[in-house]
Amino acid sequence: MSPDDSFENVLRAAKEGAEWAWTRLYRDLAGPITGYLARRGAPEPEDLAGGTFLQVARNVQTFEGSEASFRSWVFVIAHRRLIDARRAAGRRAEVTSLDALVDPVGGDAEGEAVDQLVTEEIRRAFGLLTDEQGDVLSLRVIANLTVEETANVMGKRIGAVKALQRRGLLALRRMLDVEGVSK
Amino acid sequence: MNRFDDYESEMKTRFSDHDIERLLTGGNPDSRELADLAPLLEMVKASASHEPSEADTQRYAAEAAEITRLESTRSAGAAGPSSVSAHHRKGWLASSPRFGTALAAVLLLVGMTGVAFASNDAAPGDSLYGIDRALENVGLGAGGLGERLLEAGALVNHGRSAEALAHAAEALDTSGGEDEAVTAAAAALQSAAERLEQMDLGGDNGMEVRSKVAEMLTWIAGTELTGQDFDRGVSELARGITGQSSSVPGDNGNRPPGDVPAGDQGGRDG
Repeated sequence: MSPDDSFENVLRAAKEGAEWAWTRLYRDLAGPITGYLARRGAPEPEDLAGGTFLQVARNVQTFEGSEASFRSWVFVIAHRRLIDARRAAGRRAEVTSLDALVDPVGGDAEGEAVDQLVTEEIRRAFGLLTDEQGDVLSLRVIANLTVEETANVMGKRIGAVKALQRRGLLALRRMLDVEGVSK
Repeated sequence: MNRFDDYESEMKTRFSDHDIERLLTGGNPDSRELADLAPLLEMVKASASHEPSEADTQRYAAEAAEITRLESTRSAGAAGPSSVSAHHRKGWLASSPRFGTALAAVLLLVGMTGVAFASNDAAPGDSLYGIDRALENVGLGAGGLGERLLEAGALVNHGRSAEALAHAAEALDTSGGEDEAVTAAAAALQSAAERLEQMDLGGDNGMEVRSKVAEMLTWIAGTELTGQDFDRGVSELARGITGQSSSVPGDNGNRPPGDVPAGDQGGRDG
């Protein structure tokens, strides 16, 4: 980043209502937010991500901190909206939306068949996770958040997040063993 | 079950925090059991990758900039002596009669000029200046539903009437708590929003719809009606927006703006 592109300058301009700054922030954040929400079964992930972004705009005047903490803060808002959406829908997260997201690379039939097989395994494996296990692993893997940031997003202690990710990985590992996938 | 318990216990001893961290950050864990999960997690990551469209980027960036400007103005106004009073007419509507006036001013300018809120430098003579003054005069500190209605007004300003209705519906639904009348009103707005999405809102039709949505938002902000009277008023105005028949709510001086008579709904798009 050049000095003018520093996060501090972008944030300052965003607080002043500069559209270029919000464009920059949206381009940086919309992808991972939407991916996270979609992966966690949000019914309308793009709309929910957009709502998250506008909530960020409403509250940005109160934010002070680094780029990493800003990212974490944005995911706090996204996660809360996800929880609200789940409550509104009256159901736990579904992983079926994964199918719609998968866009296999390449055109060979064999490759696509493998992708489909793996996708099905992901769907089944993540279906074994609790909402919280799935949230933790998705925040870590998709959003690239640290343990500490994930704990902040979920309002949990770091130890609790570590336990959730461990149990989640154990569940995935068990799935692979039982189904004879992998290797 | 015992077999799985034993299995989990065994895995716990093999899955160290350090190894888990390496796996989740894209590294190579020492544990074979964990390493086998790497392709799965990579697939999860790849499947969730998402590139925002240019249209969405422009749309949300413009709206966020606009909201930020409104928030800045609100903060400046809230510091003055004319901050919104604690008088809550409906309990769930943190607003004051002056808020309705400010919103009316905003929407009137929207309707007359079609101006976007994009400028940061509103000055006397600009169409934006009136908006700024309206917000400053009312000392917008209302928050909650009031701010959401202003945002809905901004959406109207951008010609996004259906989204404005949906936004107002969500705001009402959120603010209404367990007030069934407010929830019903929100549902009526949502229904109208969905109907608008199916309609052709080009040209004069679109302008007329925008005007009616603006009127309805102003009415919501300013009315003293509560309970079923409030629901009835919102529902009838919502039907009027989408061209369905409606009658004027009997609200004793809190009639919807424009006093929309039955049958005067101006065509298919309301």
